[in-house]
Amino acid sequence: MLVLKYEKTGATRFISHIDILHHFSRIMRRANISVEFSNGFNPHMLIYFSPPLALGVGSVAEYVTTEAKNITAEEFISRFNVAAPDGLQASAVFELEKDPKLQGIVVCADYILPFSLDGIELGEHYTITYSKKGEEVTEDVGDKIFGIWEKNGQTFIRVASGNNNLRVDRVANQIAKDFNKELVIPKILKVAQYVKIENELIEVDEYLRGKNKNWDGKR
Amino acid sequence: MTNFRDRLNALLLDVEKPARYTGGEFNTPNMNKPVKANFCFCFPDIYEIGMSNLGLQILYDIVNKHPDYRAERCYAPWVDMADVMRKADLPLLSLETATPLRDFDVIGFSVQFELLYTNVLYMLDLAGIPFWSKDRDESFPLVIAGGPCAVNPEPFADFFDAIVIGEGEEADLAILELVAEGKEKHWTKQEVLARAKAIDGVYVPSMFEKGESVKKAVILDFENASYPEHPLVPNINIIHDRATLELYRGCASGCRFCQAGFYYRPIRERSAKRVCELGRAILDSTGFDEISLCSLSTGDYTGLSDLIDEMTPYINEHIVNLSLPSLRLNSFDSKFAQSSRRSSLTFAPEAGTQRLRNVINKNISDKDIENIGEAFRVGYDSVKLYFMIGLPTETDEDLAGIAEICKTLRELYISIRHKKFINISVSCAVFIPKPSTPFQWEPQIDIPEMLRKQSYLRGLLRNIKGVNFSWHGAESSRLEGAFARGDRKLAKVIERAYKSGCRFDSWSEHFKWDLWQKSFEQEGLTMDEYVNGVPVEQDLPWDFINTGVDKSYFVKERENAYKGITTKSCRESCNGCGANKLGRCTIC
Ligand code: SF4
Repeated sequence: MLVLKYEKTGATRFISHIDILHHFSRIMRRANISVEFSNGFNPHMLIYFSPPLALGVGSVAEYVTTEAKNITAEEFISRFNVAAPDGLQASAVFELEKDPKLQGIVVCADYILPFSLDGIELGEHYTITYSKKGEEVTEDVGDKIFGIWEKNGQTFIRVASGNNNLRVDRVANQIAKDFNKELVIPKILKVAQYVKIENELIEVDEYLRGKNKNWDGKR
Repeated sequence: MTNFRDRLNALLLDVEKPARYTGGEFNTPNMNKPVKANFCFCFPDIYEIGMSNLGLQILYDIVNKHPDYRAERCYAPWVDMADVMRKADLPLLSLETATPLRDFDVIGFSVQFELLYTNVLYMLDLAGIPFWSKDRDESFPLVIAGGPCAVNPEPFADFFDAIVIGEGEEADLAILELVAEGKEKHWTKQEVLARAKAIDGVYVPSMFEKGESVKKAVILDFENASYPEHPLVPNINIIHDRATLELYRGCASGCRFCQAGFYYRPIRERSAKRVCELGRAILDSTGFDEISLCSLSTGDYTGLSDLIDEMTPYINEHIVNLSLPSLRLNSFDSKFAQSSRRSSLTFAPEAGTQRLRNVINKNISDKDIENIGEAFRVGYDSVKLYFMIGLPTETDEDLAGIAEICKTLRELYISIRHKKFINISVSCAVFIPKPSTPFQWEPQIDIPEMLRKQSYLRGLLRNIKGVNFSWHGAESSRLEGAFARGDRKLAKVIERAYKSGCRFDSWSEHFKWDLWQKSFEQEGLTMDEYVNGVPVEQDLPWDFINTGVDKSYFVKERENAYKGITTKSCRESCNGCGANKLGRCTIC
């Protein structure tokens, strides 16, 4: 199995998860990388993603897993990048024995928020209000926010992701409203994802690297 | 300078499918090369439809391949996007570089369909560009049009500085060349247009003099004509989300209602070898998993068998689906049906009886219909049938024939497959007399008659199990009919309708019949006067266009229609329509 780490930036931020699936299958075809197909009347490529990103939010830490045939990891990433549009370029590839099933094991992710931390104070029971299918929903998301901090002049937030998910755009909207910040959602950027092993958060790159031999294919 | 891209991005999460507006598709040509003139192709319908248009892809590719010019695109923003753009005071932008339309040298509309006329104004309005050619001074781009509706450009002529009649591949480049030269030499728009008039196919409405004629532009070397080998790969699912191969232009069948069949003559075929090369190149460069063969009557293509044989190894190796649209009944062959993994077959008998099919020259016999049994044998369970109602000389007996065809197919299916679960979908359009056809003088049936025929047919089909019936709106067919044979007076009606709230008229949820009726009335016009029958001697608004096909040929075809005499396919021998004056028909 090969796990590709890729970005979703620029125009591709506005492409929905379902359409991204389509893009990957076309990228693989253009790159002439043979990927395993499902059986059945309408065979489709077998590719597995990390938890989907909210529409409009950028990322430099998305992952996709595939079983590619007759290709080295190094060749995989270089061919992929030639065939991928701007905004969907890969930055690393990891070789694993089997599918790490990231969608199921990722627990949280870090995002950079496009405003300063000045004056922001989120209580233990921080409550957000958003509209879902036309209805207004109010939710205590205190236990889904793992932290908010500043580093090198940028504001970071760590929120729940995966099965127990918190949409970062919703929290960011609430924070911007509560603390009078200017917010453009497409300027939010996901920078890292984490899994939890024996009660310890491990960044996904570390996780993929630690347990397996890997090749770091930075472009 | 305002950063239009940032302003646009700030709006995108408030609208449906934001990827319609971002550009950035894979295979986007280099937008940074220095150029002498730039062009924005405008398509008056949404991204999903505009991106599916082959003609636009061809032209976009040709302009961008040229070292001196750049082409960008703009599709009609859906109504939600238009609302937020207006609120934010953001003008309509090109997709590639987020440049306002009014900052281009040339903007060109592709007018595909009569019900898109208000959308041209909708886009000009959003772009902050005056509607009427006469109201645009030197600060505005040259605004031009092209596309199938240019066969009768009169209803929208006054909106445009120039209109390309026929095939735009060479004309668009020639216009850009003039514009580039004009920029260098500081020509006025008038000076550019006066020269543009001399280009084959270019019509300049403001400079047109009575008695002049405009010759349709035709690509002579179709075999080697430029074709996009690296077409754009759409951001989101579009209507035709696949690679498309154009096999030939024109049509040998000569169905008497069909505008495209006559308008795109002479008939020019591309060799199977070249089509196959193009197919491989497109699949390699896009990663599409489906390829479709596109032409007016794909099944009639001389090289079809060779093409399928030659493509098959590639298709199997790369798991690509080959789909064959618009197969005519009489070109059905199970070999073709088998190579397509579709579960539904599409046929267009157009009329329910042999008599009426002879009138319209649809060369399909009852025996051809029985041939569908071959498709059932290889596993098809569903058939889509296309018909028209309101054809010249049609009676209720002909409509009953449609129901008979459905019954025959159902019985055939049961006898071959020994089960009853066939799906037959019947789709009925209303006949619209179109310019550049033998039926260009015919009346259109009125709305009560359309409704009566529809309900009569619905009643007959209701009794047949497994049949699904759908039909086109009577009112919108009426409007389409009026515009098809309209004249210059209609431009004011279009403006009125747009200003009173009409746009996206081809979308039934946005079609506002009452506003259209009012707009005609306020201009002192009625739709009826445009859809009534016209005496053959009378001048027609599009008479000045030389499509190659002689008017006398249409008259003769019309007479034959009334006598029920059919005309053979041009594949058997030339019928002398006259189109080969503009270029050789490669099939005979
Ligand atoms: S010139 Fe002859 S062969 Fe060509 S389209 Fe006309 S009738 Fe057919």
